[in-house]
Amino acid sequence: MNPIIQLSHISYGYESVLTLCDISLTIHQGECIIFTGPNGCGKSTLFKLLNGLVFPSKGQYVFDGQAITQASLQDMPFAKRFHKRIGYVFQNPDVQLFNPTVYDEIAFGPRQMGFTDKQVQSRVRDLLEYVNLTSLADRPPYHLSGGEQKKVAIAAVLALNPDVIMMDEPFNGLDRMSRQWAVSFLKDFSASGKTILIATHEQDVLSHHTGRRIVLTEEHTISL
Amino acid sequence: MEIKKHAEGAYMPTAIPDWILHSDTYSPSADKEAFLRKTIAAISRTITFFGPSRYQVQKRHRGNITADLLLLFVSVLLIVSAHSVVFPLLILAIELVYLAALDGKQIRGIIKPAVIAFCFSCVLVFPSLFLGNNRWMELPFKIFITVLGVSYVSRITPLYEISRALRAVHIPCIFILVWDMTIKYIILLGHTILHLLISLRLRSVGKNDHKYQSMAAIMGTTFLKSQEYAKDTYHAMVCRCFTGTYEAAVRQADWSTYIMYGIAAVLLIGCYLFLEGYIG
Repeated sequence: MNPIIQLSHISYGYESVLTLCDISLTIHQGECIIFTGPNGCGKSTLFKLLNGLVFPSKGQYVFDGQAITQASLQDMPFAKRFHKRIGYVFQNPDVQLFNPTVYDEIAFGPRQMGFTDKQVQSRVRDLLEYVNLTSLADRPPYHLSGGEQKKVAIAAVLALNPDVIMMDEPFNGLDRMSRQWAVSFLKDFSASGKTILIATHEQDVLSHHTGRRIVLTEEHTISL
Repeated sequence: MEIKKHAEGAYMPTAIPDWILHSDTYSPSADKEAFLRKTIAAISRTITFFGPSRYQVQKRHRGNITADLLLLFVSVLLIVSAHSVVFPLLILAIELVYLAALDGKQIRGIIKPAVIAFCFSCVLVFPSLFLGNNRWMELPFKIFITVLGVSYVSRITPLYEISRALRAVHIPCIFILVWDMTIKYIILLGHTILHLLISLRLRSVGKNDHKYQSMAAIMGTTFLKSQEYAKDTYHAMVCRCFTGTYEAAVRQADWSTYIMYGIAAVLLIGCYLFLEGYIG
């Protein structure tokens, strides 16, 4: 398996207040990794860093052989390609959804990618069926329940067909059926050879998981 | 695609769409995104201004906010009433000493509003030169020193601490409640807008011909969120038997700090009286 993400001695924050401290990690294509750790250990910061939303104060981040820095993400085509390949599902879906309807929310990415209306329609229909929300296609996302919003957020990210999907607390606010759906989605996506990174407290939901579990400690380091 | 029914009655999802199993060959087209990036940066700056910064947290343990505000108030009064520029110069020297303890970025942030106020007042006062006013620079100079002092205190003091300080000087509680709520919701809604903009940026992987439509949708979502917050706060207040009385906590007085600030105030007034020629 090829390494898709390489972190070398990454630190983030001020010298006195480090949120991530000397983190080195290699993630291979097709891996499904669970990040756990106590509150405030830096899981969300690590995910923001992997998405190029914040940049390390020390160390290097390489995504598929290319260094991700503030300067490299100034190059718009490169930044767009990078964001297309790495999908991020926020912990709180209602701050991720901004389109007037569920349909538009999912269609947002494919429309930008230059797809024809027919292709967009087909991709959105597939995803609506996949997340079992076809009947809610014309509803505004902010009128949906937390679990439904989470599904819409996942579908909106999946519409970009990313190579890596990162999910921050994916089981937060989900009922039993939605959790079953989320676990089955993770299995399907992992089986497709794509990379999944999950930050969660709820390890029992993924008790069957056989991949790596990475623990972020209170000292903001990792324990493999 | 078929929806399978689970044994317990739970609906299991359909199969994952085929196209997800393969990677897209995609090459993004050029698009302008400076507006989005600048907006994200501006909102981040606003949240940082209203929330506690690293410097503010450090400062909080060193001084007394009420005394800071009172000393600032006394200084402003003395600067305004000074007839010569010697006393304002002394205050400027003290401010510069305080500024020297901060880093370049902080100093820039504090000086910027003072310079803007100075330039603006220069433009307003300049015509008086033609009417024979030879001391026309005095007013902009005093404004510069005053705004610099206010900017310094506001920069190193968290706004929520200022509300406590206001309580100590007997400002009505309802005013403090409105102040606290305003700051809280500016930060909360600021975070909401910031996350929505980040989401827009992460998903803007190609050419977006409807940028302003997306921005309008973000504003709409934030407005709905603010309504939701307002309703929730109202319900929470009702549930907690809010009767309109809000008791803002007052910090225990640290008398040694008050004495130090008192000595500083007396020294300032003494310098003012001496430099203005009232004594000595």
